Amino acid sequence: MAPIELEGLRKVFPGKPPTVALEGLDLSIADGELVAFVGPSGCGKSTALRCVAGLEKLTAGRVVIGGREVQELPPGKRDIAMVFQSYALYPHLTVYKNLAFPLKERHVPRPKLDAEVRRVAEMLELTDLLRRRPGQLSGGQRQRVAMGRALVREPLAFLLDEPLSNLDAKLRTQMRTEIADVHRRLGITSIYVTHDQVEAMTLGERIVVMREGRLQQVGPPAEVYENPANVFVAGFLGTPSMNLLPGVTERGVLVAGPLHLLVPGAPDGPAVLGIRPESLHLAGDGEDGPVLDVVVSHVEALGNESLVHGWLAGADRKSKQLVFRAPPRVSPRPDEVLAVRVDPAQLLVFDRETEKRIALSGPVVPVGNRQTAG
Amino acid sequence: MAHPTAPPAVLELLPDVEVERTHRIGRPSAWHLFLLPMSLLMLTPLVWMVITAVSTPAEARQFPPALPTTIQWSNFSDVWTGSPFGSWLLNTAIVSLLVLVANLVLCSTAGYAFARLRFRGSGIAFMALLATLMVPFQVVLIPTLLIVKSLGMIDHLSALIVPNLVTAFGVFLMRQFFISLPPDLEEAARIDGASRLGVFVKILLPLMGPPLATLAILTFLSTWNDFLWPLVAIQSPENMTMQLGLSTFQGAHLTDWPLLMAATLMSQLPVIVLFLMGQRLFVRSIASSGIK
Repeated sequence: MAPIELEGLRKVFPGKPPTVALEGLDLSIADGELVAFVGPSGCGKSTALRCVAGLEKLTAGRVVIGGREVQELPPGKRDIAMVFQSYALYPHLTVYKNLAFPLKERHVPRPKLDAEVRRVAEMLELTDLLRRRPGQLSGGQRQRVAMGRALVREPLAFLLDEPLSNLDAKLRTQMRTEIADVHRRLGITSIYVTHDQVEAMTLGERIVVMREGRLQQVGPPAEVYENPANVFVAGFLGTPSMNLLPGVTERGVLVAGPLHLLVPGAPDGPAVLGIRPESLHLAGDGEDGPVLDVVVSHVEALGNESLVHGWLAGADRKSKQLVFRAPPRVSPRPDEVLAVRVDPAQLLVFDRETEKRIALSGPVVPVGNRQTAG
Repeated sequence: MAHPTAPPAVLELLPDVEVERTHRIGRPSAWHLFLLPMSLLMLTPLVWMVITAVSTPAEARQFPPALPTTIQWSNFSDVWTGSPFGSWLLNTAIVSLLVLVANLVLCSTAGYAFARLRFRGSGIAFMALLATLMVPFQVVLIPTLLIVKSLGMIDHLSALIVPNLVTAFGVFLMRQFFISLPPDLEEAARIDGASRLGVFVKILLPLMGPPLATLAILTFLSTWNDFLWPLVAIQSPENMTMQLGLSTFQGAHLTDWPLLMAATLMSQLPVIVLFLMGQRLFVRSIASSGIK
């Protein structure tokens, strides 16, 4: 167990033109903390992990694990363990030998090696599978063997590169719980890379949102979700994504489509209004708030709720799209116009040019809008 | 077969693999009308060789060929006693085995380097290596001879071994195999603490069975049957390999065909035994390498 310090990590892959995969990544990970790196494909999250592991040579920057600078050390000398997306189990070795491999490479005496392998096998319920080869295991079992191989020698840090992405949805949920449980029990400092925001939000004590090699925001999941630093983070986190309506702020009033909102402290200029799907409700639910007319394009019935997709009435169909949750019994037809109430308490305002969130000095207040009857 | 308690309707739906296999193998098709005569045609030289090997010189010259009246087993002992056949066999075995082992070690390590290690000029070096595949041996025969001569290896078994320690084809074959392996395996082993050599020996080598078998078979056959290079590089009868030794049975004016065929049969016995032992592997290796 050890803290991890990443200082100014930069990675450029040679080529014409060179690809900047990582640019100026600074991050401190506390001892025993689990940090989830999340972002779309090609955002640099896996490259960052591989640089920490030593599988990629840094162009610039420092990696400090447990107070020791390791960026010049080969992977085997960094005292880290890694779980790969493909599990990377050695196909010619049995589960026992796969688990024993890292210990054998470190010349651990045989009795201790055997005890450690059996301890980890018992912890991950692999005892009955020790004589099998990876080809004879299910996806979930392989994943557990990969975890076991990483845990068997109690490394300083634990790196996980999309370890659940090859599993089906049900198994993924189960394994997510197991990973959280193992981390809680062992308390090993961990970096978890995923493109799945649900995994990141549920597993990470803090999440790191990345885009095009740059860190966008770091923080506890709820804080990042509620207070995204910019339009990208706001749009990336949350399913369905945040609704983003372009507008203009003038003398403290933001006009976005039919909405007129008092936005205290916002500078004049082009802006973007962010509305989470859960801030939109079908009008007539007894609450007050400004109302939008939404033309329905299609409905996704999920059983416990329906996701209604549409666009602002009177606006261009492509530019002002909206999505919101509705009770499962609601099933409007395409092109039907629905009155939708906006909850102003959770609205966010971004600068359209810098894409950064504007910190308001007071709550957003609707002014001169059509209101629900209450 | 395995579902005796299932109702008949269910049984009908289950594919009967055993029946299908029997049909596939046992049922004659139009192809057999073509394949059977072709197989017999292919066997003809082999059968003729065996017949000639146990005939008298007079019977061997008969046309059309006929079965010998008495089987001349003495032809085999004559070959063994009348020529340094044992030396040729030993020389061929030494050369073939050393070339085989060297190719397995050097081609696999070089192939790994080309597939996985990033070093300056690796692309150009590999292209140059590939280019040598397109140059026929006859073109480089004289330069090779001059090099071997300058190294003082002429008329020595080392002349047959050193130029063949590693082949461009073998390196290419191994490189293609390494490229097809997921790099995650090597990376996992490196994180687990294995060195580069450790990864190669403990993780990759056990996975290399099929390509190594392919390379081994092809190298062994080409070395065992090589004639042109030994003809140029070796002069002394005691340093000759099998194929070169066989040519001494063929005179300018007179050839003792029964002795030549007896010697040829004896020279091919190890290859035939090897083929029978690893027939499936042999066919697969030829198919996978795309050559014949």
